[in-house]
Amino acid sequence: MNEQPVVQLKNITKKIGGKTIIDDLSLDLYPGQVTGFLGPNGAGKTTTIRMMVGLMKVTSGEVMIDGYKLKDNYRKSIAQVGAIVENPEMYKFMSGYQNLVHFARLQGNISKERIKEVVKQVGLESRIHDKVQAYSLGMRQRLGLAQAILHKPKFLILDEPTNGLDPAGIREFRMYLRKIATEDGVSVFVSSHLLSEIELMCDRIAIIQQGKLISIRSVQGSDQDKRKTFLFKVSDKEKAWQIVRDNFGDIEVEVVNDRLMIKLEKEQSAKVNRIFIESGIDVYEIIPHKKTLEEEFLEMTGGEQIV
Amino acid sequence: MSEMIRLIRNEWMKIFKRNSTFILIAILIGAVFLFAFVSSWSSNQQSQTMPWEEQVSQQMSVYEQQEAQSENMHEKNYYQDQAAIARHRLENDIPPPQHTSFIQYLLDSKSNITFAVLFTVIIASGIVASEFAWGTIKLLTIRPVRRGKILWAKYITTLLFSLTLAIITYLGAIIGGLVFLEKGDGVLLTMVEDHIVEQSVWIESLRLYGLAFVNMIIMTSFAFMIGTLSRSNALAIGLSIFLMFTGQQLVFLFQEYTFVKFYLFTHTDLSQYLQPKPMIEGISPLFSVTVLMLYLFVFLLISHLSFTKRDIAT
Repeated sequence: MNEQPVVQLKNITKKIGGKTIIDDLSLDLYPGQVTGFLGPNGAGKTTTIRMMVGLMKVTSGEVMIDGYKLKDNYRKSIAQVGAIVENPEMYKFMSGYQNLVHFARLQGNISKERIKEVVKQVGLESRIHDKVQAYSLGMRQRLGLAQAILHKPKFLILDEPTNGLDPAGIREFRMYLRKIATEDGVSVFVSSHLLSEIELMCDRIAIIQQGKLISIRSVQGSDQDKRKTFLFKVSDKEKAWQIVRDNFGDIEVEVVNDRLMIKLEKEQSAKVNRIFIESGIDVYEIIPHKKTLEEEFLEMTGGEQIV
Repeated sequence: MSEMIRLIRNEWMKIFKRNSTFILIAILIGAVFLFAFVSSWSSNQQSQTMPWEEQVSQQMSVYEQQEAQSENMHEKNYYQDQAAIARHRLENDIPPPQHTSFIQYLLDSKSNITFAVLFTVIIASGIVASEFAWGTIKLLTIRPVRRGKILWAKYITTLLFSLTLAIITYLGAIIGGLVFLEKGDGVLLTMVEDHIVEQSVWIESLRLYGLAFVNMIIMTSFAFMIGTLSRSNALAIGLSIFLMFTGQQLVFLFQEYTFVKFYLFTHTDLSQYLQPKPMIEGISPLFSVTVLMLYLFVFLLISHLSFTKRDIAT
């Protein structure tokens, strides 16, 4: 990535009462990228996000947004941030529209047209004049998104954004995030406990544990691992197992339920298939088994619970 | 500046989009009208037993006695003036406002301000604390507006709200009085530089309400500070109302000690200087105003530091 990062966390540390909550964390976020933020319960995700938006002060280190130091140039840097921190808490006794007017006034110059446009974008036109009290969780999420993008920020932080959305809503939301990232070059930072969601939504994933960043990598990363696990469903498991042993020697192979699990390079899978057929074994299925993000995550964090 | 106005409009909207605000105002208006009704009812119960001339001449002799016993100049002057006014009434046949008249009722109605203070304290306690309770504080503060400015907008809004309630109380008392009470033929007299002049009921009542409003500002600011500091609505309301009702009792409890001169509630009721004696010896209006200003400054400084420096972690 040659572009300048929109957000830079430089060695940020947060201590509360002598306890180190965030330990020397550095992270760059680039325009047009959707970055996922994962970590077990209490790892410091929310604290990190709070420091990125100035709700909490860093003990040491620097948060830079759009080239400005958050500490010294709060107004200029925060003007480029849109956020939902945890649940989108709104003024329940006001309508969705009044809530947006409220946030627009805080943001500065935002026209009525812009508010209308955003309401349309998040699909709340029919209910925007109802009190937020009467909104479902999904509608509140939509309103939360609306207030976050009202001022067209360069950087969008979303904490558990799909919580409460139905499958269609989640899909729509995902498409929308991808769209503003690619078309408008917005840098998006999403924390979620739904690992499969993060996998579908994000270009990059940052994993935090006990206040330390333990991994940053692209979602496609696991494909680069040349060896993959393939599951073969064959007519004669024992014979097939013997054939693999004889022909490939040191390869990992095991019988899992009614399938044979073999770790191979891509080209080898075709060869194995050919040998099976030549030896009179019928092959019903060959499934490349990709390690899920969840499995990787659990490996990395030592099986701690994720939220 | 226009940013400040936008922020104040936001805070105003958040107060007036809540039904509870209208319930408070309705209760306030109800209480004010009830006061007017009870005043008229009780005045009908008391039949006039004594002609006013007799009353005033009795009062005059009491004032003259008091004047002779006075220990300081302020007290002496007060009784001297009162006796002179009484004499003037008798000589020129000018009756004082009767207990049952609109004039006396309107002056007494300043005690209604207590309700307005109570309700303003509720709003002042919650204006910061509720944002924490609702969780909206996060979305409120991550904006290109300095936190201090948001706090000031909230404080100014609280003062505007208390002014609104004070005006409602005053206007309500006037309307209630016009509906329930008879005008009566009494006249207010006052001493201006050795001359006895007629005093308008409007000026006199506004003066009393104005002094009560000072107390309102102090209580409002106190509640605002506790709400900002503790981030808890209930604590701020509870503590403020508790002090509202017990604060002045403590003045009498501590009157032997010198620190009582610097105690907040020795000074909150500025109408004490319209009486012959202030609550304790050795205080003056200027001293009281200085002490009140110092308290106000400290309240606002604590609120400001607490709101701008502390992490938001709820």
